[in-house]
Amino acid sequence: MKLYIIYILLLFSVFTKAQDSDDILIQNATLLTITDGVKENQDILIENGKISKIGATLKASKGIKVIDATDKFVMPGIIDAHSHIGISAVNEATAPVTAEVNVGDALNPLDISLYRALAGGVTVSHAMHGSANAIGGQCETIKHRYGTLEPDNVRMKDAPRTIKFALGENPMRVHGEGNKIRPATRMGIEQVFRDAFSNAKKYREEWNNYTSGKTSMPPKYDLRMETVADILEGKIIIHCHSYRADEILMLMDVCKDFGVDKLVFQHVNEGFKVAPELAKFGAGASVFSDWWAYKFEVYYSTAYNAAILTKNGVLTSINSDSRELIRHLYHEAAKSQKYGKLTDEEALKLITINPAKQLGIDDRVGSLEVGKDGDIVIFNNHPLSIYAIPEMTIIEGKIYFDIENDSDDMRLDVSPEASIPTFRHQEESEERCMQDVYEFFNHTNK
Amino acid sequence: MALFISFGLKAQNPEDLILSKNLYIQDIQIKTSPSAPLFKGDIYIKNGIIEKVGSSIPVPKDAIIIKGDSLFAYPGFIAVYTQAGIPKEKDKKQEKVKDPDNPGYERAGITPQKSVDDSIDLTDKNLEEYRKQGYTIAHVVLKKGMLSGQGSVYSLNTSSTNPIIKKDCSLNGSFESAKGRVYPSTVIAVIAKYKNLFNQAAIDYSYQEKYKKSPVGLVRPTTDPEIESLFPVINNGKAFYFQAEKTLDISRALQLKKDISSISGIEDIEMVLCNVKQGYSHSEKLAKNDIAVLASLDLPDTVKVEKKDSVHLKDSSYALLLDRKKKSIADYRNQCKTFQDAGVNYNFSYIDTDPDKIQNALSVIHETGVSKEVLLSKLTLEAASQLGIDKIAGTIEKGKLANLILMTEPFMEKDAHIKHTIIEGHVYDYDKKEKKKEKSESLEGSWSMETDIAGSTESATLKLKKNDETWEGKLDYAGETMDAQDLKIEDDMLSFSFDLEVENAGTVKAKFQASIDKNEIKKGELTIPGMGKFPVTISTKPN
Repeated sequence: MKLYIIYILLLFSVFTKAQDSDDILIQNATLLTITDGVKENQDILIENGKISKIGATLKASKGIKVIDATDKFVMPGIIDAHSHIGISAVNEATAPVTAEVNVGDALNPLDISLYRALAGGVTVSHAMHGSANAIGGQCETIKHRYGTLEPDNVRMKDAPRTIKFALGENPMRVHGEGNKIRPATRMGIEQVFRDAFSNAKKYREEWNNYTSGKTSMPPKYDLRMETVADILEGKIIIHCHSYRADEILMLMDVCKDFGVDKLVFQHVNEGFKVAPELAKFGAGASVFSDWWAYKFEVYYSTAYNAAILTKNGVLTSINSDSRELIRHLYHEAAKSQKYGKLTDEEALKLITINPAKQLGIDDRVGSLEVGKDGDIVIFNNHPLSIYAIPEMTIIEGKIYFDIENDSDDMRLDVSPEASIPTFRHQEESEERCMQDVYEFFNHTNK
Repeated sequence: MALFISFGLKAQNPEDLILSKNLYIQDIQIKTSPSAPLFKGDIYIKNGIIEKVGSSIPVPKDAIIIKGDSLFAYPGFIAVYTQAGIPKEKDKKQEKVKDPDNPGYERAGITPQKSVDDSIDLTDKNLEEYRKQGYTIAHVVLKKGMLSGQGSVYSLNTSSTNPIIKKDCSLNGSFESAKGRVYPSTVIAVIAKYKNLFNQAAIDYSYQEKYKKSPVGLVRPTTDPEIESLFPVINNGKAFYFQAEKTLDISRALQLKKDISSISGIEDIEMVLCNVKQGYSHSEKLAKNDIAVLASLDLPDTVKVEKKDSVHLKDSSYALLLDRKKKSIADYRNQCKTFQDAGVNYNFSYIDTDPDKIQNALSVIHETGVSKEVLLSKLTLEAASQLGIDKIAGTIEKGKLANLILMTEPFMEKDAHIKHTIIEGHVYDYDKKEKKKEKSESLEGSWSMETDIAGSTESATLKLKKNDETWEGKLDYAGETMDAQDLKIEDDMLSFSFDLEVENAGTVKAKFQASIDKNEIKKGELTIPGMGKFPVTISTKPN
């Protein structure tokens, strides 16, 4: 009878373990915890996908996978707060406000860029809508669980909702220049926000009047206004593509007027000019390490941006906005040591706990702490060293990248019509934030 | 006295059958349903309905007899999802829209209230091709747009005054985005639009019901016809036929089904996944949730390794990549077998397969391990169940529609072809030998053509005649008959030259060239040296 019960329990334990989490013990590494200093020659134990123990010579249950990480460096999985990988559409560029669309409705788990990002130590990325619209679409925080055909499996379940806003040349070009509609100027962009917020407020009031019985006929349903109203109610974090100091200040003013405080600026190349204001508002900043001058509004920039923002108390992260750059974010973070003399911990925070906070997921990822998700990367050298190479990337205890087991052909889906490639094909050339939009400019009538 | 007419005549003109509306098929091997064994018997059809089927039925007094020996009778095939009879729309130049965000329902591709009945051309040649392949009933759907409209089930009986069996019985959709730079231009906007439309439908329906119960004090409901056409779907009366070809499309369609079904006021909607090509990895889920799937018959061809590629095969990475491609092709080709094994409720989609390719596709599916009996069932009884017409079609049974196929060999045997397709008692004749004769002869005869030269319309008649293997052509023009010189007739092209007298230029050699399509001379072109090229319209099919 006992054996029967044990057998049932064993079977039960096998099935209760979620498909995507696992157990693993990493031994004898230098642990870069981010929030609790550097721990040398220690182990980290992950059970059921969560970090269960950190310490020296940990004991673990029989049969668990053990990785000998002697002389290696372990850090939390890198988080990229600005990315466009793993989604099938980036820009719904047909209207200045498209809050109702959601890139999370079109996740693409087959994207090989997910695997390449894993090879760069990135476990979580913020898959974003593009910057064609003043108020763009909702974004999705994803975990790079590469190997599944189901879009839902790369979603980071219950991550806070986020939405893309955009300031400056992109929305002005797409709508003002392209369609001769507002916004054609930066003042127009400000009005787009103010009008959208006001209309959403009115929309919510109309619906509340109906549901409370004050009115008898339901108003028209509008998913766009529903979403903007949710922003006003603090349910969605705004991530705003921005460059110039004047427009950065403008958006903070608009948000203040409407009681919105969940705001993170993206790119924010002139952020160094308004760092105190950003810190006062509590807005985050997610920047490039050293990319500028590709447009006029991106001329006045500096590689010291990340360091200046950090020193002024702004929650700062470094992002890639590129499926190439995402593969070496640890080097991008290291640049803040040359330009700004950030400490090791400050630099590593730029790609771990800080972007986690900006995405509202810092309770689950971003540092090596007991209770957090077992998302870790094992490096051969200190990640901020120029000689750093990620060797193993683990999400919730499961190995998704192992440099020793890296097949040449990692495609998940092979088309029956595909020609067998005998050369490497270079794809990416233009700014990813404007993907799907350039064809609008090239074709007059489709 | 029984009327005895042998069916060597082309029974295309319904007037030919005024002698009797009833048929008696004598001494034929009958398969009444997919699981029933073949047995020799007779079938008596009265007024387009099966009156009797069995062995040794006494010969009725009022029926035309069809001799059935050496033939095999099967229930008529049913095409569950096709676009046959819908004319190809010319790609119009898209007008620039003032407000791309609000292009209007039509431009956005949202026309769920449109009925296929308004677009279908029941005389379309394509439907004839379906009949030739044994199809007697078809569920036809519209082509363009995110929500293209309502589909209907048609009887392919050309002599019927009421061909619609089930009107507007399906809502048809896809992830197709709007053309040109208008909303919704991406899949994420299409999905958002679906959510918006269905939410609106739930709200409008609920308000209409509220108003019906007690209108006093309430503003009269106004609903867009597009939204109203969604009501039957949200009330679980009408199925939503949704195109989803590849694996991500399928995942997204199923997610959309879930999202729509979770809207307050909407019960679980019925979604049929259509033209599925990469459904094999979803089999378990589809079977578990009893989701009907219509598999595309457009299967990829197996890889042919050519001589020029053999050099590459020496490269091991090339060989590995080729293996992966082969595996992918095999997965696609084995889709139906995978469905069969997993217990998925599947049938076929015909929208990207020409009727003359259907048999090939079915053969491939059979080779992957799906039995002939299952395939026959898919084409007949299961198709009827899918469309909800199994009470009147799908098997050869007393009381059901007289829809049959008379084949020369058992279903899917080598060299089996259809001699007659019978739809509601109306007989279509497809004698193969005669067909062959028709093919080579149909170019013979007089073709009249017209062209516009320098403002005046010129007409001529081309007379073609085949003497054994060689063609002879004569051109009647301006009262004279001349030889069509260098006459060349190929599969798709016809050309000849002739002497033409041109004012102030003497005699020149004019060249005529035209394209041939299905034994008809299509538009042509006349080249007159020194004057240019002129399009020629050919107006008469020879008799």
